[in-house]
Amino acid sequence: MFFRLNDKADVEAGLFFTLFGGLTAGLSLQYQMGTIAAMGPGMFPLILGIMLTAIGLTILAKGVMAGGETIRSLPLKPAFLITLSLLVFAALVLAVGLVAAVPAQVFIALWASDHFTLKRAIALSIGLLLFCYLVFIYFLGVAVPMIAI
Amino acid sequence: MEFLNHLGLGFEAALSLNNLTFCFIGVLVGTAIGILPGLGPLATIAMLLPLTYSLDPVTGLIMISGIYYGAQYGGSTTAILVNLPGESSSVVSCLDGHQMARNGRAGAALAIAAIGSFFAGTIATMLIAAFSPVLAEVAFLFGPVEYFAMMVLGLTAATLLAHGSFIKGVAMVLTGLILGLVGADINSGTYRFTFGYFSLTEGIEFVAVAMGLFAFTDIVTNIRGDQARDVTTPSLRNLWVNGKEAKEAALPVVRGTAIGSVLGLLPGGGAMISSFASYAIEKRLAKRPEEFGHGAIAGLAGPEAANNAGAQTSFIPMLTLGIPSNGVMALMIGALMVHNIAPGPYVMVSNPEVFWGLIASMWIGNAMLVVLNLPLIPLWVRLIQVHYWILYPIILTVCCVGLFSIENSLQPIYFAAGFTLVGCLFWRFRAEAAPLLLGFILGPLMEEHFRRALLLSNGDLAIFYRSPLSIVMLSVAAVMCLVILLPQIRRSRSVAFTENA
Amino acid sequence: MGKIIRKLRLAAIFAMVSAFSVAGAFAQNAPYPAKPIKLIIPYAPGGGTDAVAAVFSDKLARKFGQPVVKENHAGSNSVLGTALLADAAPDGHTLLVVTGAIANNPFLYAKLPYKTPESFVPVSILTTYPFVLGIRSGLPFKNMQELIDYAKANPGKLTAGTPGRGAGAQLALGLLNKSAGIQIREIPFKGAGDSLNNVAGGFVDMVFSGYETVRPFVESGKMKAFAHTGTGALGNEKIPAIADTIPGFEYQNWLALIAPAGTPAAVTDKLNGTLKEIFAEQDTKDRLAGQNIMGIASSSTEAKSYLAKEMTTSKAVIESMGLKPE
Repeated sequence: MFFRLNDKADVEAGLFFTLFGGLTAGLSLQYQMGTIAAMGPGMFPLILGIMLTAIGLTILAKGVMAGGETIRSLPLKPAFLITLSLLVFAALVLAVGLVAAVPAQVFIALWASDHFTLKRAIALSIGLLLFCYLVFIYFLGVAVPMIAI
Repeated sequence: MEFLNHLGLGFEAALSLNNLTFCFIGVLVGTAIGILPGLGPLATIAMLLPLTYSLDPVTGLIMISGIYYGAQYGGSTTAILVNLPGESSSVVSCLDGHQMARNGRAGAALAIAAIGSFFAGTIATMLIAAFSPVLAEVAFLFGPVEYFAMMVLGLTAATLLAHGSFIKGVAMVLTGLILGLVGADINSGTYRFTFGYFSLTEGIEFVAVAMGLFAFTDIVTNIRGDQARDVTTPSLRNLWVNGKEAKEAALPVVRGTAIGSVLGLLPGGGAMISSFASYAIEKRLAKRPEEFGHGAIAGLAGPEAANNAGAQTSFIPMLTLGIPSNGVMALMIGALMVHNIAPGPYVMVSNPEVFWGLIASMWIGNAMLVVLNLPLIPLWVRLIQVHYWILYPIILTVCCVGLFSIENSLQPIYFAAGFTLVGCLFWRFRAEAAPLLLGFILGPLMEEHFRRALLLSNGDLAIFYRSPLSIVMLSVAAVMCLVILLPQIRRSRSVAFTENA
Repeated sequence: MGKIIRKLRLAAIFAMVSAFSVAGAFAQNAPYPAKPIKLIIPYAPGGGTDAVAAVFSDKLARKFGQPVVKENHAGSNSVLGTALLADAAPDGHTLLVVTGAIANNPFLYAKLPYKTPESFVPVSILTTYPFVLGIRSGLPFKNMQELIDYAKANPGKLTAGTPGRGAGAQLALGLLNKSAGIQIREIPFKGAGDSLNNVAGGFVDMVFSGYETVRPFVESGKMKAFAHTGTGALGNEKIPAIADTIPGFEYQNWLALIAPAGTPAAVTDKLNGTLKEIFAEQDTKDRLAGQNIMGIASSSTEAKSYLAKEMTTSKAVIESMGLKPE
């Protein structure tokens, strides 16, 4: 049974919550605790961190002992590409402008799909650029540059 | 029936062609902007406020409230169609509304949201007209202790938002609470968990968290399933709500209206909690609670009504006492001041046409919303019929520009990217994001009231059970926990049992 | 939820510009302002600072023939908005309305992303106004003396809400505690609105706040406007000054217009002169009088020495309150 442990949703969840709770509790120690009457900035996060760690351990124990649901397998390529498309948009939008950021995002994001073709990506980019210009820049006046240079 | 006379005066003021026109413009523009991801009612009003300065006070206020309702409805539309909560109250609309849309009932979901909101708006408007002065006092029954108890109750309800494991729901609420604490501490001004980034002093941007955990995670997990999506394409013939759906929606709408009307009176998150509270109650009352999270009509109808009723009654403290109960009301007060009307108990007497005209226009605005949006539903429904490979790059780009525009800063985009990965992780180990978002919103409030209560009592914890209101709310929360936990324990036993067998 | 976005603003401005175009035709010869002026308000929209800014920004736009675009960037007791100004180009096209908080923050926040006063050029003081002390109506005191006597007999029993660390009201409370030799406990809130509601609801005993914000509660009988921190009697109610009981007691909150350091003197002079004209006009006076505020346009040098003086006072009060930068 032990070798199947890493399929268990509760085991992963338990580990995540335990670590996050522990991290919070640890980091909150750098702030003043104060007293119950006049709590410092560190007290509340410390309490929450300890509670989350405890609950995380409970979930972990539950997962190890009872099993429960199995994890869903994450589609890695889309996860990576969608996140990358966001980062690339952010990197390009002020440096080069929407004319580069939008096509770059569309290409990377669309690459994650089975329906990717060059023609579709180009058409989508052009459409989106027009939409962004009309709605965000022309109509709403968002300070986002079409061409930054 | 004095209030009917007052309402008559109000309708007289509001029904002029000029005011109707501006009400319509407000609703239209509000909806159009509110539909864009990331732009909730507050943002939309703040943007459009200068447009109203040159108008008559009554006309200006009528237009702003039109924008308010429009933006709120626009937000629900985005939430239902593309699972994108633009602001806290539409988180709940995502849960079952979006599932309905995916089951091919997008038209019905949008119609229920519109009609439920209209019903709630009508009742709440009558309440305001009849009882404003009395109801305003409710806000003053709530001090730090009562607010803390309300937050505990709200968070308990939040764990019910998850249709998975209860204990994971609790863990997610706690995670949200912790994330919500990032930023400057109110009492001491200390910057907590900002890791030296000055822009984090006001906390992590809510919209970035919501987009990452909901919309973007959704995209990642759906890209491979786009064929499956096409199967659920709604047929254009049965767009409308059918009899069975209407029946299922009716009672939740009534209950939601009641909840929203009461909670909307409370400043600081009352209206927001109402949609969560309504969801929790509907789930408890439902004959088949397992449907929740998979497109339960009650899970959309109740919260939508509660949200709208709350949005409406939050006008009461503002109009009668000059107290803004939320950001939108603060803007309203600002708009009044521009016209040299000091909000407060005397507006009713000194500017009756403003006071009653605004109340009448609330109803008119809601009615216009229905008139405007019902014919648009086929259009919105076509939007999700579009191939997913066309839709998701559009969502991504529009969201990115929306995120940037919040503070003209790239940081929210980076955060949204981070939360997309976190959201994928949550999806992988089957932990639901909705409770986290509620914790994120309520976390700072909860800490604030908790600390303030103890500061006032000089550290005496007994203060929490000296207030009757607080005792009632904390007991309800405790009972709720028990009610949730008992079947969970039973179920997990039976699950263990079947696995062993 | 986060900060406010202003998008359609520009659309609104285009509409306004057309109205100003006549005035603009005359102003266009001058090199400044060459484009719309961004006016940062470091508080949430709809507040008192907004109201004052609205009074002069419209007129400034009309006189300059360029739109004046208000942007609210609330947060961290005005630090957030102030930081934005410090980063802006020093050409007079980005300005900030500050309150007394700017003089307090350097002594309360250890890691400010700007230097006070080196990062700024004060353009003009806009207004100064006293705080009104509103107490919950359940308290039996009839005047300041009774309140002080009670506080002396029961140290730490009375509570006062403040809108947070570094706000003027916090210093007013500190000053009262120090000069009367009493100990009223501070209960910090997030903004003045919350603190007022809690006094009106009877959960906190008193609050220092602007006259206009206290008045609705007094009218509805939830608070008593007890005393104010200026001199003389205030408003139609003839609210007495705290100085009547504690001679020499005075705390004035203030608003000023500032620009980033390095802004040319020609620009600040022009702004200054225009503000003087605006504040001299009768309807400006009337609008401000409606809020019981008096408009002041000072010279840049006066504003500079005012800020320096306020910083000295703030430092002393904050130290006497036992607060340190964090």
